[in-house]
Formats: sequence, structure tokens, C-alpha cells
Amino acid sequence: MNPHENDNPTPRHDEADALFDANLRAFGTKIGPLPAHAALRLAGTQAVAPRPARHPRWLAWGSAMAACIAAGAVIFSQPWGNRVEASTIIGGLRTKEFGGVNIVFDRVSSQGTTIDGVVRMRLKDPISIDRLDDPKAIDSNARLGAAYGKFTLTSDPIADGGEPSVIDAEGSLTPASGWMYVRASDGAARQMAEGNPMAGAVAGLAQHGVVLNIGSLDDRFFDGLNAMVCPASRQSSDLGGLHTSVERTADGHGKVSVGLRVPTPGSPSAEQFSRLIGYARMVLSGKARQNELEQMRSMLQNDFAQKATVQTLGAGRFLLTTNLPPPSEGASAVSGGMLRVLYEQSGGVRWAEFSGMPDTAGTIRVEFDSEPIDPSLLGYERLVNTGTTNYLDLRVIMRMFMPPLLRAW
Amino acid sequence: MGDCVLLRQAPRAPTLPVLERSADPSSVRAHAGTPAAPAPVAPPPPPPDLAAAHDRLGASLYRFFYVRVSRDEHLAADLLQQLWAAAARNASRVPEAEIEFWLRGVARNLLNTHWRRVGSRPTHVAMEDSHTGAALAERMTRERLPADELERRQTQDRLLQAITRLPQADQDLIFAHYFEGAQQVDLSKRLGMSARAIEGRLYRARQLLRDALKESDE
Repeated sequence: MNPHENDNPTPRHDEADALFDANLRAFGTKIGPLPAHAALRLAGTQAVAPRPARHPRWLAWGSAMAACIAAGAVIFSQPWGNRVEASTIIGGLRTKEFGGVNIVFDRVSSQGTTIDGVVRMRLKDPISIDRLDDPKAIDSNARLGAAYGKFTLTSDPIADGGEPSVIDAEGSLTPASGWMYVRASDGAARQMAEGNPMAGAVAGLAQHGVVLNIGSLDDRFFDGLNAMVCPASRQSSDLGGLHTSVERTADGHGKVSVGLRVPTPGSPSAEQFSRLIGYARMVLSGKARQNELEQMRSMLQNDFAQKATVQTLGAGRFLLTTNLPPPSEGASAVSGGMLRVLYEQSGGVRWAEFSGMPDTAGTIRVEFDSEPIDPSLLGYERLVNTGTTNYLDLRVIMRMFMPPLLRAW
Repeated sequence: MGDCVLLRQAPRAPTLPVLERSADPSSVRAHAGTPAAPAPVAPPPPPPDLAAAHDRLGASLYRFFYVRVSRDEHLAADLLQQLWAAAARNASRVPEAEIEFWLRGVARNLLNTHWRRVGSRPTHVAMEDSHTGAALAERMTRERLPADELERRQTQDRLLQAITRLPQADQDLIFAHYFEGAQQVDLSKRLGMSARAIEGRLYRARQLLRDALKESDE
């Protein structure tokens, strides 16, 4: 028998209690549920059950944005001393809403390939940064309003005296349509044909420019994207200390994990690095509070950063520049890079820029931008030369040649 | 929020080791001045399980801060984080059975320290006033409060503060039933009790709340 079965039986006809009950109910309706602290996730298995990432690319970009903001906020707490507390900055940033982001690749070069370009993403409704940790907040096609990207990929020639391979790519995605335009140089087409005859056939079309219909921003698109991005079996890569794995879950969703290679356990820096990663996780998930931020800032300043300077630009604008120490034995891949963050007292972090990364030249900048994308960029008609430009429905091709999972696209 | 998170039953407190130590006959011999071998020292009580305490009390401690800092989520979260940091440093000497009282005491101290640090308690934060709390309790049992009274921020805060002074299980029940809309039948399923037992526990929680409104512990 349940020991609570005999708990105080309710007296009947207690008019005072009935009124108290009614008033309490009315208060409850007015006030509503109190917010749950994020730490409650630790309290029950139901609450912590991980939700598969449906749209890994969007999630990854969201995390990148959160990382930039968090890093900027953490480091900026130092020079302002008593005037601005870290918790105040983080509190403001967590609730800061933004309507879009641009990711700019400026001559980003690695292993003989250089990327120049920009991705612009705009949301239908602004989203607060603290929701980036919640997949439900950003995994729906109802959230992403439009995206546009334009890239130039240049690869070094295979042989001395050869010509470089150049691929121009441009594309847009809206709820109504989606397309990608690809134009390959002669050298690129030749390189692709040498590597893979089938790819060479596509490259041949791309020599004159090809417009690919990739569908619109709907569930089918994302399902197809997941199927394409995520392999049937887990695949992982380890590049410059950055460990990435991609796998498809049993229900067909994609799951992307990104991590940093930790120094050898037991080495003097391993413990420091583990602690730093722990703090970074708390920051990224929005659980970090003043104490953790102070600890993380201290580690960044004292243990990992060589120098951190703040330049006053006027009108409430500050530019933070911090250099991470050069690579050394046992150091992580984050070593040797430079982070610059532009902060405005009125609006928070405007952009964050990474450069000098190990094994990678160039600059990657994340800008917060809510301005609508120029509508003229969202159509492909301007790129079409009648009689020479090819048009392919990529989904039809996928249905013909690809595994069943991709045919759903 | 997980369905069962707030309504989990608190584990039964373990037997107090203090009683076992006082019953140790060797300690009696030592008091009598017998030049015998030194009395064996009883092992210190095991440190409290902070992870379990976090799971059990985290929600109510967050609410404790939240309703006392003008419902500022970030400040409440900061204070809660400081509380767990303090617990990680100092709670090892606190007996398991006293951990809830200890945490609530530290929470009150942190809150007072916070108000001292920022200069003063803002005027929009309701004071815990026993007189007005008693008046509110009295009115809630005599009449249906008008809408403007229900919407008054200070009245709401006073009520919320009183609820967060209740024992963990009672405040969980009140928040789940009145503020989150959980019906008695849902609660009976979650807690594995009959609907009648739930009704009884709600009745008892309301009685305690009326008492809490009349009194002030701070």
C-alpha cells in the first residue's frame, strides 16, 4: 500500500479553503509557469535525452555564432573591470535577438585550395542567441527565411606549369525555390574528369555554366540534405587537431560532432585544456555564469593567450584582438590563431573574425546582419545565357541514381 | 521541463551518525578518566551527495532566487550558480540530512550579500512583510480577489515568496497544479498515488501556504 494513501484526507465543506483554492488558481493563471532553470536538464532522463540534429549544417553554424559571441563576451569582461560585469554582458547577449548572419570567407586557403565568398542567412523571425542551443529553435524550415551564397574555389594546378582549377558557385534557397549555379574553368573540368569520369561529365556541363534545381526550403530538402551530408556509417576526420565526425542515426537524421584534440593526458597542459573545454561547453550551452566566465577568462588570458588588447574606436565601439600562443608540442589546434571581435556598447558583438589558423590562411568573419538579402540575388535568370547554360533538376538525377534514402529528395 | 522532475519524492534521510557515536561505550570510558587506549574516533559522516541534492532541490532553489530578484532569470541563474559553487567548496562537512536546510541558508546569505553589493534592495522588489502577508492570506480565504489585485506585481511576488518557503514537495505540488495546470489525475499518475491522496496533499499544502503567508522567516 502506498504510504501516502492516508495523507490528510480533505475536509469537506471548508469554505475558506475553497476560496483560497480559487484565488490560488486565479493567481496561477495570471502568473503562469515559472521559467525552468537550464540546470534542470540534469534532473531527469526524459529531459536530457539528446535530440538528433536534423539539420546539421544549420546547427553547426548556429554553434559557430554562439562560440564567437561567447568568446567575445568572455574576453571583453576583462578591460572594463568593474564597470561591466561578465554576467551582465552575457545576460544581454543571451537575450539579444538577431535576424540574420553573414559568414565571410576571405582568401581562406588550406591544402592548395582557396575559398573566397560569403554565405548570407536570414531568419523569418529574429531569434535570441540563448535559443541557439535548442535544436527545436532552428531546425525547422519555418525558421529560415532565405539563404544566399557565392563562392569562388581555386585549386593549385596539379602539375607545374598547369593552369589552376577555378569553380564559381552561387546559389540561393527560399521557401519558394532553390537553385545553385556552377561554372567550372577548363582546368577544373579536366581535373574532375581525371579524378572521376562521372564527375567529369557533370563538370563538362558546368564548363558552360549549369543551373541546378535543388528544390525549396521544405522538409524534403532538409531530408535530402541530411541524407547527402550524413553517410550511412560514421565517418570522421582529424584535421589540424579539429576532430569532426558525421553519422546518420537510426531514424535517418544526421548527427555532427565537432571536437578539439586534447593534449596527451598527464601532460601539464592537458588538465588546463580540459578545464578550458569544460568552461567553453558551459558558455556554448548558455549555462555559464559569472564564476565560470571569470575562470575561463583568466585561463584564456593567463594560460593560453599571449596578448589581448582592446582598442577604443570611439562612439562606444571597441576592437578586441587576442593572439593565441604559437603551436608547440602537445598544444591544441586552437593555438596560433588570432581572434578579433568588434563590440558596440549599444548593440553587443557586431562581428567576430578568426585568422592565422594553423594550416589555414585567410580570414573567416561572422557578422550579425538583419538587413534583407537583395531580391535580385535570389533569382538565377541573370546568370543564364540562352543556348549555352544548362539546366538540371538535381532531385530527378538523385532519384535515378542514388540510394533510396536520397530518392525522397 | 521533464514531467517528473519537479515531483520526484525526496529520498528518506539516513540515520544520523551522531546518535551512533553518543552510544559508543568507549567514549564513556574516556570521560571517566580511565587511562586506557585512546577512544576510537568515529568516522566522519559521509559527504552529502550533491548531485542528488542538485536534482532534488535545484528547481526549488532556482525559484527561491527567481521570485526574490524581481523575476530576473539571469540574476537568479547567477546566484544559483554561486550557490552550487559554495556547496562544492563547503558542503562536505554538512550531514546529508541537513543539506536542504544548509543550502537554503546559504541561498539566503547569498541573496543578502547580493543586495548589499548592489547598494540596496530595489523598491520594486516586494519586501517580505508578515502583516501584509497575513492580510493577503485572510483576504484569499474570505473573498475572490479582483483582477487588478491578481495582477499586482507586489501581491504576486508576496505569494510566490511564501510558496517558495514551503517544503520542497509542497511547493512542487502547488506549482505543478496551480501554475503549470497539471490536473489531479495527472499528478496521481506521476506520483503513484490515488486522486484522494493528491487532494489531501494539496489541501495540506494550501494550509501550509496560508501559514507561510502569515509568517515571515526573513
